[in-house]
Order: sequence, then C-alpha cells, then structure tokens
Amino acid sequence: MIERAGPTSFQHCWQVRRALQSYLDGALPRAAAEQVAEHLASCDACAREARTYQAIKDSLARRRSPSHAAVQRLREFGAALIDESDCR
Amino acid sequence: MEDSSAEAELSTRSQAFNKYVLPEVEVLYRVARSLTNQPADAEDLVQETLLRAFRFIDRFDGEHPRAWLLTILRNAEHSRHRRQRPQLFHDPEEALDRINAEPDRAGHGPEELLVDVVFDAVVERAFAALPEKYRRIVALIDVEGLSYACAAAVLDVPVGTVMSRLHRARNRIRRLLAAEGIAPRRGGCR
Repeated sequence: MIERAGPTSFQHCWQVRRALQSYLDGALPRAAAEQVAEHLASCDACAREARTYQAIKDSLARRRSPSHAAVQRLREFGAALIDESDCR
Repeated sequence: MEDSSAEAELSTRSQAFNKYVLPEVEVLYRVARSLTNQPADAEDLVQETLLRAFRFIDRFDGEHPRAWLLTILRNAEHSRHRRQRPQLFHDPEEALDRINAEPDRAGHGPEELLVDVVFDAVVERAFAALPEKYRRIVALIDVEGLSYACAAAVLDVPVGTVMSRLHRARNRIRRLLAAEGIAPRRGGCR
C-alpha cells in the first residue's frame, strides 16, 4: 500500500508523469526536479516515458536549420544601423 | 558642449544596441521563421524589428532584452499582417543589395547523420498534423528552443496556456508514435 503523497511530492507515477514534460524542459523548481529524477532512477516505466518524450524533443530540435547566410545578413544589417548613426 | 552630449548619447545607443540586440539576431530570425511562411518574410520581419529596436533602445531598461525584442517582433508581425505585404527597407543601403543578390536563402547544413529516420519521419508527420495553435508552440519551444516565457511573449498568451498546449501537442505526437509501434504504449503505474 502506497502512502498518499503530499501536493509537492513526486513519489507516485501519476505525479511524475504530470510533471514529466516540465521536468524535461528544465522548467521545474530544483527540489521538484530532484524528486522526479530520483523517481526516474527507480521506475522503469516512467524512465521509458521520459526517454520517449526526450526523443520527441530531440527529433523536433533536429528540424532547426537556420539559414546562416540570412542570420549573417541580419547581423550586418544591425551593425550597419550602428555605423550609419555614428557617421551622422 | 551640445555636440559632445549628443555624441555621447549616440554612443550609448550604439553600445546598448550592440550589447542587447545584436546577440539576439539569430533567435529573432528563428522566431520570425516560425511566424512567417517564407524565409524572405522572416528576414524582412527581423529587419523591421531591428529598426524599431534601434529607434527605441534608449527607452529600454536593460532587463530581459530577449523578451523586449520578441514583443517588438510580435508587434512588427501584427503591422506586417495589416499591411498584407512585406516591406523592404532602404536604410541602410547595403540591405537592399544583399536582398537583391539573393544568396543561398534555402536552409542548409547537413542534418545529423546519426538520426533515426523512421522516428523522425513519424514525428514530422505528427507535427505537421497538429492544429495550428499547437504547432506554433511546438515550433517555438522544441524547434526554435525558446523558453515558455519567451514563447508566451511571442504569442501574447499566458505561460500556463503555452505549457498546456505544448504538453497536449507532445502527447499527440507520442500517441501517433505509439500507434505506429515506434514508442512504447504507456506502461503501468504504481
């Protein structure tokens, strides 16, 4: 029988899973993140769930493909604003 | 005397722009890409943002430059929609030359080689199938790497809305992965 957890506790799977995405985004307070990490280290099912969401995040991050040429042009545009005002 | 104080002010503006704005150009471009359909529109939008930021940099208090810039970008995007067409700027002059020259605008750079192609393909399909309001959030946070707070600033919605939409969106992606047998179905809880 598992003891009922308090509102800020993360010892039960349902609590961890509700907070899992925030945990993976680094958006949980440190104490809560530590509890989630502790749970994940001892719960295979939740750890698998965490790996799945992390894989989704990683896959989406791979879509990042900024045009370096465009970023460079924009940096030059910004720098030119400074240069122009300095010349006035 | 007046000249030297005007010069000092100009120098402060330039320094502030250099310190707070220029380091954010890449983030601004990433966000602009997620808000516009065409790379050229994204570039126009960031140019407008930079112009506005330069104009108003003396009113900026130095706190949270990214959030400040994203608010400017959002407002610029609203104006752009009202105008219905992108606008090219003629100051500084070099900008037009660069835009007219049209160097490699297409995204480039080799993708990671060690990629689970099937997994990525399903995530891609699920991402494309998301309702617009979910897709935008995922694009800003997971694709472009913004924080909850910055995404909230861009979309002008509360942080709680960002979180709930983001989590629902990822749940949808996860469900599709499970349906295709790529991700495990939810395991039992204790």
